[in-house]
Amino acid sequence: MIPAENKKIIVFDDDEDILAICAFVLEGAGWQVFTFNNCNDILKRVAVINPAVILMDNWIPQHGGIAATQLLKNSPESAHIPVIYFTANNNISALAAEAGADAHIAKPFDLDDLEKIVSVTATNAA
Amino acid sequence: MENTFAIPIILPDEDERLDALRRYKILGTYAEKSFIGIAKLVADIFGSSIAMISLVDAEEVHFASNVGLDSTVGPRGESFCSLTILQRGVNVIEDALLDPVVINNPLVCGDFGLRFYAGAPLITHDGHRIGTVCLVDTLPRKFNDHDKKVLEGMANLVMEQIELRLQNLLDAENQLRAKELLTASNEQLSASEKRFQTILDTMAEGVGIIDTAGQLIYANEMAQHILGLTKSEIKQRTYDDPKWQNLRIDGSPLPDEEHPMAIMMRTGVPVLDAEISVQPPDRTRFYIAINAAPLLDQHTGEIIGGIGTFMDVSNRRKVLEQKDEFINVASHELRTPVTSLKAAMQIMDRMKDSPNPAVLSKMIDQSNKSLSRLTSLITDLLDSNKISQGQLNLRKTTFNFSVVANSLADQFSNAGKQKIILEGAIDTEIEADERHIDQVMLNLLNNALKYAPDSEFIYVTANIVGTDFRIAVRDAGPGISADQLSHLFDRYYRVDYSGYQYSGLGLGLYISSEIVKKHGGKIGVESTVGIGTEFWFTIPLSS
Repeated sequence: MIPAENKKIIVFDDDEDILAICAFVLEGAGWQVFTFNNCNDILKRVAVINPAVILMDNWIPQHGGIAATQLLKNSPESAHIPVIYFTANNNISALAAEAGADAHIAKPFDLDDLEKIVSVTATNAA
Repeated sequence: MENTFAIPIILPDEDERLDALRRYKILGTYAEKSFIGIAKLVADIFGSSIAMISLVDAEEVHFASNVGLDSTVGPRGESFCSLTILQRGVNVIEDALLDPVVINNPLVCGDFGLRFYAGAPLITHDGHRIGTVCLVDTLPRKFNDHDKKVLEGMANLVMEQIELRLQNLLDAENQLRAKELLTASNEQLSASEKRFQTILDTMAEGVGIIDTAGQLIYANEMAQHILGLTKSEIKQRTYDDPKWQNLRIDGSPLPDEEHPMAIMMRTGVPVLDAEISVQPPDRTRFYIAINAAPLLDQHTGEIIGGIGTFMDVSNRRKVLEQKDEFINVASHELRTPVTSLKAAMQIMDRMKDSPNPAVLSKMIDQSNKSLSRLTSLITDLLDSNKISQGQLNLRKTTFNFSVVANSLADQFSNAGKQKIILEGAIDTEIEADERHIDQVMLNLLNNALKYAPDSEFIYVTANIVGTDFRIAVRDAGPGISADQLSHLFDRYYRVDYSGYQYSGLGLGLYISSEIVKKHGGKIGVESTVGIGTEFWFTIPLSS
């Protein structure tokens, strides 16, 4: 299990509704949720928060989820943080692989599945 | 004709004989005189003062080639030559005064005093006697067999010359005819070539011909246009020129041996509608569809080259790609509100036994918001489909534009920090489809808010320009670059997909432009990067 103080998650998505729903659901599951509708200054933000897991949308400013994930995975400070790719695009597994994400979940998703993949991914990495 | 001789001088074959004479086309020509040399030789050999080569025509005897006479023609009925052509051999009258046949001839009994005549007939290859070689004297003479032989030889010589001349004439005529035929066929050929050239030059497909080495030896105008070639460059290009990179449709390099022309040249089998991409050194990549067919040697059947016809299908491909991209975007955009809706429903489902009023209210709001987003996306999709099927119908009424403008301005100004400023002739009655005009305004205002989020004020300016009502929506946003401006009203165009900046189907401006056009108006955009953007449209005022 992850220590309670480390139960932090960042959600990157350009859609405010999805950010709000995810925050509500994940907070209900005991997470401290941080949401952003863009990936500006992503390395700095991630370094400051130091989350246990990241949810990353595919279409997100400025350069998209693939570039943002690659940036995280290529940075020694954040490479160990698992990234779950989540998108409404058709070819999700190919996109997740290209990004170098640790897991993926398609939109629309079931809340149980979301809670489970977040929990499992974070636990495996810990 | 008056016959001065004691025997008939016309034979039964006279008509054929005359035909034979005329066949040689010698009477009345300079050639008649060309035998004077032979006449002189005859006179010299036989020591006579008069000798001639004569041609016996229907009424007259012609003797332009003669020595010792002033005239060149005489009546047939008086000429001794008329007697000579009655027989095959040499005709000799050693003393005319002793010959009952000629005794009454005026040359004999008149001043001329003819006593001696010897003539050998000119016999054509088909046996007709058309004239003579003869000599005449005013004293009686002897003429032995040797003399006859010589004279006969002379006649043969002359006849050979006449035959030879005829042959030359015929050859020349044939040559002339052949030349005329050749000229006519050349003209036909060049007219036909011109026709083909015109076809080749005006056709919408490029046509290129290569030799067995792959060297381009011909390219019609469209081929030059598509391949960006000038005439001098054509000769230096092969179809697999390394400077021009040929690519597969997926963008990977196309190996030389996979080029449709190479496949066709290798197999000898035509290749149809093969699509490849071409990357020139200094232009954007384009797509061509190629038909490749071998050119075969007529006799051996060997491949002596290849002909390729091709057309630029970049637009077709671009539309396909845009459509694919659009479907991708559309499914993404539809899934996004479905994601929030599904999550909200599931949250409500989880707490249905002990509802939390605050959360319930939030989730119902969320569900309604997601549903209205879905509805508006679906409306856009259906509208665009209607438009593409030509089924956009207008329900025109007369209404005041300010009703639409004020309602939208209130709605937007209450929603966010940006202010909508209405100015000019907003208060104008127009005849239009109110729902659709509202849709256009909503789209233009939404775009302004979405793409110019830092523009504090959005101006809606109405003007009456001539017979048009003109509405402009102006922002002070980042502006749109010139290369994007021209595509804004295209069906599947959305500014910068790759940047993932903005959501939406990208159908709004397309739908707006179709609505405005259906009203008989115009739509346009002016933008300066760094200053702002103005979208405008016009609706004709009813007269």
